[in-house]
Amino acid sequence: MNATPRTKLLACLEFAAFFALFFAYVLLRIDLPAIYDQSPYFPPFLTGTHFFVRFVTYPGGLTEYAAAFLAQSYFVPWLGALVVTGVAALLTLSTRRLVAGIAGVPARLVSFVPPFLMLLGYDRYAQHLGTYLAVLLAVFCATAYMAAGTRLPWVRLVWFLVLSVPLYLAVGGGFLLFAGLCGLVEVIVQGRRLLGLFCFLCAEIVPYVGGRFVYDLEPADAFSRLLPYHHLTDPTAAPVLAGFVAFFPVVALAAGVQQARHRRRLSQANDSPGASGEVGAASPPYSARRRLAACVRGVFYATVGVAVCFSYNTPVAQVNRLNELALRGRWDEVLLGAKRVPIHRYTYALFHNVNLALYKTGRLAEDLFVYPEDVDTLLVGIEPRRSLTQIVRIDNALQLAPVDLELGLANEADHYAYEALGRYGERPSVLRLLVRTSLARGEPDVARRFLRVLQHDLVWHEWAGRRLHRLQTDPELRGDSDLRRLRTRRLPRRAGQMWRPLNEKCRALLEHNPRNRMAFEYLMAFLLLTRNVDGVVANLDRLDDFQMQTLPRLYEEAVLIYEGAGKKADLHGRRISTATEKRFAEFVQVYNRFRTMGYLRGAAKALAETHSDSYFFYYYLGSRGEHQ
Amino acid sequence: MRAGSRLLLFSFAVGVAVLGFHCRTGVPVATVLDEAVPLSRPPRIHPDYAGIVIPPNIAPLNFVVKEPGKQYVIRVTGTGGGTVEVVSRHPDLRFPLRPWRALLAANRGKQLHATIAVREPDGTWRKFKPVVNTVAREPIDRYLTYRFITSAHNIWYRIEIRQRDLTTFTTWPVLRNRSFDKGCVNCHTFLNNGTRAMTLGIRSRTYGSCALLIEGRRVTRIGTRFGYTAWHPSGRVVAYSLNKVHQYFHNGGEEVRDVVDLESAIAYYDVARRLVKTNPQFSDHDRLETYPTWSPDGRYLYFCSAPILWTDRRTVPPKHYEETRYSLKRISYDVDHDRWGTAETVLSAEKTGKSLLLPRIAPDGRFLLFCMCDYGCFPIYQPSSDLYLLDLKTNEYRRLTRVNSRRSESWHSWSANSRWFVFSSKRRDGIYTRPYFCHVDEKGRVSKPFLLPTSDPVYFDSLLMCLNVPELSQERVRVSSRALTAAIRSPRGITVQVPIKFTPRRPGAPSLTPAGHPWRSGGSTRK
Repeated sequence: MNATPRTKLLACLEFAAFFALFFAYVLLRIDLPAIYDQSPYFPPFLTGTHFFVRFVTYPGGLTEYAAAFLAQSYFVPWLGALVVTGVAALLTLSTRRLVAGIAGVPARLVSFVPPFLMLLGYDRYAQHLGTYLAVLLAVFCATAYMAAGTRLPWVRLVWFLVLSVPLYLAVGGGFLLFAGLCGLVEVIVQGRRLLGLFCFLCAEIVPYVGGRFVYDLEPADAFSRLLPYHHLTDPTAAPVLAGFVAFFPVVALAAGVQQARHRRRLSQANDSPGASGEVGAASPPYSARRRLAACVRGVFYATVGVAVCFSYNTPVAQVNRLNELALRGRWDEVLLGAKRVPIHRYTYALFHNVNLALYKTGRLAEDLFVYPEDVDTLLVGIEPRRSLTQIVRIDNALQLAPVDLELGLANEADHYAYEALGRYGERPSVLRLLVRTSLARGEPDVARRFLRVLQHDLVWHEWAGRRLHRLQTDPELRGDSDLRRLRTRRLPRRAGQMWRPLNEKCRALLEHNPRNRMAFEYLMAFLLLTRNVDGVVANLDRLDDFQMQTLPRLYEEAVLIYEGAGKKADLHGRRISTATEKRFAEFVQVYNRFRTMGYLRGAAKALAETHSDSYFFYYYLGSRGEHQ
Repeated sequence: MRAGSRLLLFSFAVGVAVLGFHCRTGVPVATVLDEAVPLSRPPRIHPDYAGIVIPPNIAPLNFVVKEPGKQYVIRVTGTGGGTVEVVSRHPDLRFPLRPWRALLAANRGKQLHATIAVREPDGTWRKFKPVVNTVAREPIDRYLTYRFITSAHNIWYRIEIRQRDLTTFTTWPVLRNRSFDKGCVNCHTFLNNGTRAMTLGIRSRTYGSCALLIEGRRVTRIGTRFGYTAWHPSGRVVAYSLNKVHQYFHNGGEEVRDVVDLESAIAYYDVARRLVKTNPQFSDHDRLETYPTWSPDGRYLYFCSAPILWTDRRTVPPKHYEETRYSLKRISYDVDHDRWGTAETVLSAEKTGKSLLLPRIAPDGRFLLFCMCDYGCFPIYQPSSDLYLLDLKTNEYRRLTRVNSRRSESWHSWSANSRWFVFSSKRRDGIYTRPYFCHVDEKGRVSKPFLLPTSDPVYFDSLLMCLNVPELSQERVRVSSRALTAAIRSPRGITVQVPIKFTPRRPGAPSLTPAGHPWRSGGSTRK
C-alpha cells in the first residue's frame, strides 16, 4: 500500500491544483466584502482582553473568537480567500488522516468533499466560519485520539477524557462530532463496543454537565452551539451546513465498513486452502484500476465544478452587490444594476437603496416608477406597523438609519443605530453609524466612546484614530459641512413621538426647515405612492423653496390626473409640458378602450411597454410589481 | 537535546532581560519629586479623582494622567503616615493593592496628598500641584450589585446581574439572562443592605414572568411580577409597584427614549402568609403610585404619586403625559397588625414644580434622597433628572449641586451606615450609566462624587454596557446562579392573586411592545 514517489507527487499536485482553483473561485466569484458588510451573522472582533473575556464564559466561545478574528480578513478579498482556502485545506488534511486512520488507506478524493461543501455555503453568502473551525478542531482531535497508538482501552479512555474537556470548552456543540467519531472508531476499528458506547454517551454527558453545572446554560446552547440550526448559526444554507457536519461520521462509518470488508477478505483468503494470501488475485489488473480511478476522479471533479457553479446564488449576489454599491455611494451603478434584478428578487434593502439612489441622482420625481415600487418600501422600518411605511424588519436597521439621518430624523436614526448595535454587536458599520448619528445629534462625547471602541477594530482603527484626533482639535466638528447640514435639519424636542406616518414626519421636517429637499421629495413620493394627488397638488407651492422653475414629470402626471377629475390645480406659474400631455392622451385613449370592454388587465398589457414608468400607469393600473 | 537546552536557556535569559527592562524603574522617586520643576496647577487626571472623599476600604483609585510625558511618577502620602509610590512609562497609574490598603487604614479621617511628576521629552521632570483627597472614617458597604446591560432600545441579548467587591476589583455574575432564554432580570432588592433576604424580578417569554424570593440559599418563585420593590425592615413584608409601563421614542430632543406608566399601583407581599394585598390609598384607580420605600423603623411606607391626566389608558404616549409630576407621599403602617393609617403628602409636585421619583431613606432615618426631573416616572431617560436631599428632621430639601451634572442622575442606594450612597449617572456621555459614590456627613454635606474604581482606569471609556440599578450590600449574594436559574425554569412556585387590575389592551390593537413588555430580548426577535 505504500505510495510511490510519483504517486505522492501526483497527490501533491492534485492537492495544490484543487486549492489553487478553490482560492481563485473564492477570490473571483464570492464577494467576501459583501459578507463582511451585510451578513447579519458576521461577527465583530475587537482587540484587547475585555472583548476576549466574554468568549471564555461559554463553551464554543474560543472557536467563535478565532472565527471572528479570521473573518475580519473578508474585508480584503485576497486575504479572506486565503483564510477560507487555508481552513478548507486543513479540513481536507484532517479528513485524510481520519479516513486513513480508520480504513488504513488514504482517501484523497473523499477528502475534497468538505471544501466542496464549504464552497456551496459560500455560494449562498452564508457566514459559517465558526462551524468550519469547530468541525476542523473536532476532526483533528478525533485523529489525535486515533493516533494514541495503543490498544489498551483504559489508556484510550483517559486520552478521550483528556481531550474532551478542553475540546468542549473550545468548540461547544462541535464536541458531539468528536465524541461520535471516537465512538465509531472504538466500535468499528478497535471492536470495543463498551468504550464506543461510553464515547457516545459522553456526547450527551459532557455538554449536559458543562451546560448545566458549570456554565448554567440553556440546553440548546450547551449542546448545539456552532452547529447547524442553532439560533446563533447563520440559517442561510443550513442544509448544506448540516450535510457538512454529517459528512464526517458518514465517511468514518464508510471507511470502517470498508476496513471490515478488507479484513474479512484477508481472513477468507488466509483460510481458503491453496490460497497464497494474495488478496488481489481476483481483482482487475493494475492498469484497469488506474483507468477506473481516473474516471472516478474525472466524474468527481466535473460534478464538483458543475454543482458549485450551479449552486451559486446569482440573485443574492446581485442584490448584495447593489447594496454594497449603495454603501459606497455609487448611486448610478445601483440604478443600473437594479434594472437587471427581477422584481420577485427585490429585498427591502434593495427597494430602499433604489429609492435613495433615485433621490441622490435627482431622479426621484422623474423615475420613481421606472423601478418596482411599493409604498411600504419607501422607508423601511422595524417598528410596529402603525404607519404605512414601517415594516417589521430588523435586518434593515442599518439601511434605514443613514436615510433617516439624511432626512433630518436624527433621533430615529439614532434609535435604529442602537437597535443595530443590539442586533449585530460592535460591528464597524454599526459603530461608524453610531459615530455619525451621535455627531449629527451634537453629542461628541458619545461619538468619542464609539470611536474608542473602533480603535480596537482590526480594519477601522486608523480611521477611528484620525476621527478622534479631529475631535480633539474641533470638539463638535463645526468645520464639517456635512454635519452642519444634518444638524440644521434635525427636529426639535417638540417634534413629538417617533411612530408616525412618513408624510407627517416629512411635514414636520419641512415645517422646521422648509429647504429640506429630501423631506420634500420623500413627502411627494409618499403622496404619489398612496395615490393622493390632492396632496401632491397641495404641496406644489413648496417647489418655490427649491427654486424649481419646472415641474418634474411625475408631478405633472399627478396634476393631469387631478385636473382630469374636473379640478383646477395652482401650478404657481409653471406649465405642464406638451410631451406629458401627449403621453397622458395616449394613455387615456388605450385605457378607456379596455375599460369599456371591462378588461383592465388588457390595458395593463397594452400599456406596459410604453407607459409602465408613468404615474398614470401606477395610479390606474397598479405598480409594475403589482402588475406582475 | 543539547541545542534544545541551549535554546531554552537563551529564551529564558531573553525573557528575564525583557521583563527586567520593563520592570526597571531606575527612578529615585524622592529625588525626582524634590528636584522636579513645580507647576502651579494640579494635573489633569481621568477619571476625576481629585478633591473627593473616599471610603477607607475602597479598591485602589487607578487613573490616567492626561499630561504628555515619557515617564510618570506618583507619590501618595497620607497625613496620618504611609506612602505609596508608582513609577510608570505609561500615563495610566495603577496602585498595588496591599500598600494602598495600608495607606487608607493609616489615614482614616485624614487626607491623602498625591504628587505627580511627569518627565518631558527633553528629560525635564515637572511636578504638579498635589491632588488632595480625604479618607472618610466610615467604610462603605463591601459589595455593589448592579445590572449590566446594553444601552437597549428594543433589542438586546445580554443582561446580567453582577456583584462587585468594592475593596478589590473582583466582579462576578449573580445571574445571566443566557441561562433563561435571554429573558429580562431587574430590580434586585436587598433587605437592610444584607443578602439574607432579597428579591429579583424576572421576565421571560419562555419561562414566564415571576419574582424570585431569596432567603439565604433558598429560592422561591412567586408567580407575579414585582416592579420597584422595597423590603420592610422587619423582612415580613415586601412592598412593590405594578406598572403598566410602555416605552416610546422622541423624534427630537436630547434623549430619544422615554417611558410612561399608563397605570400603576402599589401592592405588598406578606412573606409568611404568601399573600399579595393592597390598600386603596396606594392603588387608586385615578392616580399613579410607584417607587415604594420604607422608613428605617418600618412605620411608614413612602411612595410617589401623581394624578392620571388622561382618560384613554391605551394610547402611548397619553395626552398631557409631559405634565405628569409625582409628589412624595407616605402612609403609616403597623406591621404587627397589618394596619394602614392615612396617606399624607410629604413633598408635593405643586411645591417643587418637578416630578419627584425614587425616594430612598438613609438607614439612620435622617435623610431622604430622591430624584426630580421635569416630568414623568423614569428618571434615567430624563436629562433633567437630578438628585435632591430631604432632611426628614426639618422637612427641607435641597438640590445636590456638587453631585449633579447636566445629564441624568438616577438610581441611588444608601450604605448601611448612612454615610455613603451610590447612584447612576450618565454624566460622561448621556447614554451609558456608571455608578458614582458620594460621602454624606452627619449634617448632610455631600462630597464630590467619584466613579467606581476599576483595575484598568480607562475600562469605562470604551465599554458599551450600562451599569445601572446599583445597590450596596454588606454581604455577598449567597445563592448560586444555578439555583436562581432552576427556580426560574421550575414550574413550581407560589401562586398569588394580585388584587389590582389594570385596563386591558384594546382587543385587536397593535401591540406597541411585544408581549406587553417595554423591552424585549433580541434572542426572541432574530429572524
